[in-house]
Amino acid sequence: MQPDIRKFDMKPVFIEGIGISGPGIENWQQARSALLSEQPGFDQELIISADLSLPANERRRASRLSKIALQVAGEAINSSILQADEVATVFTSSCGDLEIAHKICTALTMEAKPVSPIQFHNSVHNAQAGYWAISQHAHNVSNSISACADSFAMGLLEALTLIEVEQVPVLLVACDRPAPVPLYNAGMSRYEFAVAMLISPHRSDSFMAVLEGDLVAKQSVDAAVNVCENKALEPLRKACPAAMALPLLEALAISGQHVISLDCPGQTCMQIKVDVCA
Amino acid sequence: MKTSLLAVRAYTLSNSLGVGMSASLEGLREERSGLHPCELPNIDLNTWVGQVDGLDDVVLDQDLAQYNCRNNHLADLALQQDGFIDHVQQSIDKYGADRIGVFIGTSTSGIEETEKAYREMPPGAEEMPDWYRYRYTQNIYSIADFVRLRLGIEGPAMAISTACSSSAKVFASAYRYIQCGLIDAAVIGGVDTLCQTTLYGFNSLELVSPEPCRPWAADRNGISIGEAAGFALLERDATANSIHLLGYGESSDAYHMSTPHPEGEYAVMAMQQALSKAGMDPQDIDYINLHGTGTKSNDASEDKAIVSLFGTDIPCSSTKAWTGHTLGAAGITEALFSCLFLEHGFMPKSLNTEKQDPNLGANILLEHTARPIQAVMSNSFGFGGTNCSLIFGSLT
Repeated sequence: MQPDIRKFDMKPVFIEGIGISGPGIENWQQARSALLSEQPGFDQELIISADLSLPANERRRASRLSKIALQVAGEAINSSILQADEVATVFTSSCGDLEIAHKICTALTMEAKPVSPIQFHNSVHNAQAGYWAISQHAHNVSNSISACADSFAMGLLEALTLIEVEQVPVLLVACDRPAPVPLYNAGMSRYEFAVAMLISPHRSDSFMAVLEGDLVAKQSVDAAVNVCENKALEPLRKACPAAMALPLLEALAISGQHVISLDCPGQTCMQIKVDVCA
Repeated sequence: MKTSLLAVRAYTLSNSLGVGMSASLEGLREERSGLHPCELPNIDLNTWVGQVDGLDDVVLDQDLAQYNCRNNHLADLALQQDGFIDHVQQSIDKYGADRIGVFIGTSTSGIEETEKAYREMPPGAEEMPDWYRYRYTQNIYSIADFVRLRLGIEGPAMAISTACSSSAKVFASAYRYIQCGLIDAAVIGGVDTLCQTTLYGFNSLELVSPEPCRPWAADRNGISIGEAAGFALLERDATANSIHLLGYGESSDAYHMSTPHPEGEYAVMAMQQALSKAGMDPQDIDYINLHGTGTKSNDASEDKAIVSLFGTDIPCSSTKAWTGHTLGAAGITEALFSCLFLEHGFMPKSLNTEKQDPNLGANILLEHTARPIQAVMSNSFGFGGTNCSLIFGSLT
């Protein structure tokens, strides 16, 4: 067990559920072994197989990124004892859905500029939050953010501040996917990846881990920042902003205590201690 | 006794009324709208827009040149008004650059650069043009990163992008960060600029008016779109004359992606939460700055929400006919208008609303009303069913 490196200012919170989808990663159960494997199989496609509970209209209209987000959000809720309408949500994505931006910008090059009204309302960065709320009849506070490459860390920090101040469980969802050509190389993601964590201020009988997080000065951190222990995960982590969650997910896959650090904007860094139940 | 959540230490606003606070104040007082028929290049729509002049002439500092886009130009211009940069520098000197956070709302960030690149590329191109910088322009975070670097802030930063509530929600997030002790002060704001995506997008939904918008009028027929930037510096410590954030409420309609809940049920939830955070009753609010976009369904839904919670006496108005609907910057524009009204003791009329829709019950001000006010609510609602209500006031 690593010694406590410092006192954490924020109160401990409890991970009550996890959902994950990625290349060759179907769910948290299967991911726990994939994250420890030397050959995680990132050449495979992300598969959407869950029943997303969307009404027919919304199911037809929702973009692939929204469906991926709903799949992991659903897995996290279903693996917990909490209900979707009693939790707040934070959706974080570096880039949102660049496939929609591509379709709109392509339409805008045409004489009649035939922008699709559905594409337009899907283009908002909070589209995933909107579809999730509709699918779950969830009326609680919800935020949708971006911090570019630091989007996962800032999403987690946003979730922790909501939990501490509003005393409400928070469903954190991080998702990104590649942009289509010609935006592909300009965009920031080479993989489809999404993760959801249901984090509560209260410990249920089925909690998975205790998490303590804090914001510290970058120069105060000696340990490696961001990096995965399993080097086979690094290609995925480096090529998808949402996959910056991997060092934390890797820690959550192994029982015991871990301390990891994730970069944040400016001169700040997030330090996270997790104690994972056996 | 009212309790402050945070003090608004400094603020600045730029929109189609002009650059800086005094332009907004004078435009509102003199009943001069910032809306004009749309003459933007590459936009061929019969509509009125609220445009900020001179954005093409802005030149960013050399070391921030890769952030070059209309949205960051507007941010750069707006940050230089009202001594805002000096106020932020004082906070940096007091707390340290890494103890200040940046929370900026936007809906489309610098997507205009992507539109421009697509216009320029030959059909079937596989790469973007050499000059194109996705990460520093279109990426949603670009605006927050630009503001952070422009002000020399080294603390946590994020863009909040929840459509038209984006830059109202920045107040709530900043409050929570300060409450948790992660930072001592926050620069919050919102910036959105006119682009083809939003003009043609809203047009595709048949929500754009061919005339200047007329919120709450019986013959209202849609929105006028505008561009704006606003910034505020929030801290715990107040000066003698500070305006304070007293309450905030956030909720989700869970009803439809682009149409509000017809009864405004969850707008009511956001307003109730804001009152409860502030420890106030509906009768403690002197004036409501409506979201008031001027579409049939938005105004009808908000009207039901207001009437059910506040009744039909409380003075209300929409300021959208002055600035246009500034989308991701609407929250901050109207929150800071609310601070202006508190500071200068007046409640503005709902411009262009000559005759109120007889089916709508809220008390819409058809004339400017000058009198001291102590507490103002500002509403912001958006696509995806996102709702945010804020309460500002003095502590006296």
